[in-house]
Amino acid sequence: MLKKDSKKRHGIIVVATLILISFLFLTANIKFWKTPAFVESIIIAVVSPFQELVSKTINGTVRIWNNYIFLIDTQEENNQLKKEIGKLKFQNSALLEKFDNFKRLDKLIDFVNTSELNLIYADVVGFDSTGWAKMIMINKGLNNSVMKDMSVVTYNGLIGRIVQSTSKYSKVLLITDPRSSIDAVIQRTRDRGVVVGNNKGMLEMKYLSVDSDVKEGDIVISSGLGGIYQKGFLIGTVSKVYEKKTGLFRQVAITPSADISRTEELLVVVSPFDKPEIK
Amino acid sequence: MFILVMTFLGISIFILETVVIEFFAIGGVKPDFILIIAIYSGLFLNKNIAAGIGFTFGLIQDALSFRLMGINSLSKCLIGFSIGSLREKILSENLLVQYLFTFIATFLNGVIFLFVLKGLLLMEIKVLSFLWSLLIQGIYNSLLAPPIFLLLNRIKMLYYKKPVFYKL
Repeated sequence: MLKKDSKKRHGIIVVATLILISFLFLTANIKFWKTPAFVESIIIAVVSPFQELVSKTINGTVRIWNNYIFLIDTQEENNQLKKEIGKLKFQNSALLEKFDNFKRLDKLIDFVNTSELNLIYADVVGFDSTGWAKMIMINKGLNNSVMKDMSVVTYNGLIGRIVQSTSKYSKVLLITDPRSSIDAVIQRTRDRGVVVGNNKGMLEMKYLSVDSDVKEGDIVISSGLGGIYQKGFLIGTVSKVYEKKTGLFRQVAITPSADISRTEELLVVVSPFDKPEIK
Repeated sequence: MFILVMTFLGISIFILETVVIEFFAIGGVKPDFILIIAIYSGLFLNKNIAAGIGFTFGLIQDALSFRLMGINSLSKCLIGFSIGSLREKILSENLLVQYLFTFIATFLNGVIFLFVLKGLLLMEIKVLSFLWSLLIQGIYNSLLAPPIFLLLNRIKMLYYKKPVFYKL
């Protein structure tokens, strides 16, 4: 009887300790906006190689199925064309932006900033499993010079930014996460606002002037302010303009130009950190 | 040995979940397999072990996410322990009980998330839209849970006659 009671008490102590540890993590998270990095690093170091292995196996199998078994030629050609269109869209957007800058006599500075991007290729090895955060894990880390706050793009546009790096892996906070905010401009009207994620795969632009002549189909790019994302990165296209209401600002919905949920390969922009300042 | 097998299976499910989770998404809502494992542990194992499993897998989930440390470990630990405490008063083999508990646990897990994200981390979340997603996730998890429970019980049966199992 005594033994049973002691066992029961022991169990309750263990559970209370676990709950207390969770609370401590949570408090550190909320109060200091930090999490114990060593716990995350250990878990990433243990789990991510398996994630990478499984991810590569699955992607390889899917690729073999799609390219060789299912539709030998058509699928491959379709993929190539899609990539080509995506690449051209990205280039077109960058060129339009450069042209605008040219008109405002900023061309030299922007040319250096946008045309000499030093990109590192990375594979997606895992997604966030909670469903409440929009985050992915990539197989490049500090060993590859990938550091916190570097931008992550694809040919189609902006994907997110690095929020944590371990030696071999990095976490990317996607632009669709509500915690992501990007200072952005509407390419046609030059109106500025802040683009935030809505956790449902879409974006919203806030703090856009109520006088803005924004229209559906307008392209939204990063403004370069904020110090993380470089100027001219394609973010998305305006998909809905909400009715003007009383107040100072209006709001628009944006569809991301990059197919974020299906992205397998990414590019990490590393150049801005190495570049000399232009005086 | 049974715990080792369960851990291996749990980690395998977890890795698969983080790699192929996007294929399971319906309207942006994804099932939470780790929560299903925590519920299973509560329904079929000892409540302390259920709390431990919930905590461990929740912690892994947190570590692989961004700035969510402590949320999943807390919610899954609580859910595993609470269901485990009720185990002797319910018929855990009953399908309706499994549906109901999975749905309630999903809702509870979501409410803890909402409270922490909106109330403490001050994230901008539309409550109505969040609750709607939670409803879909609750139904989704409830439908997936019984076959997963069945699979895990089959594996458990392999160790049924081992003395270690009785200690659980």
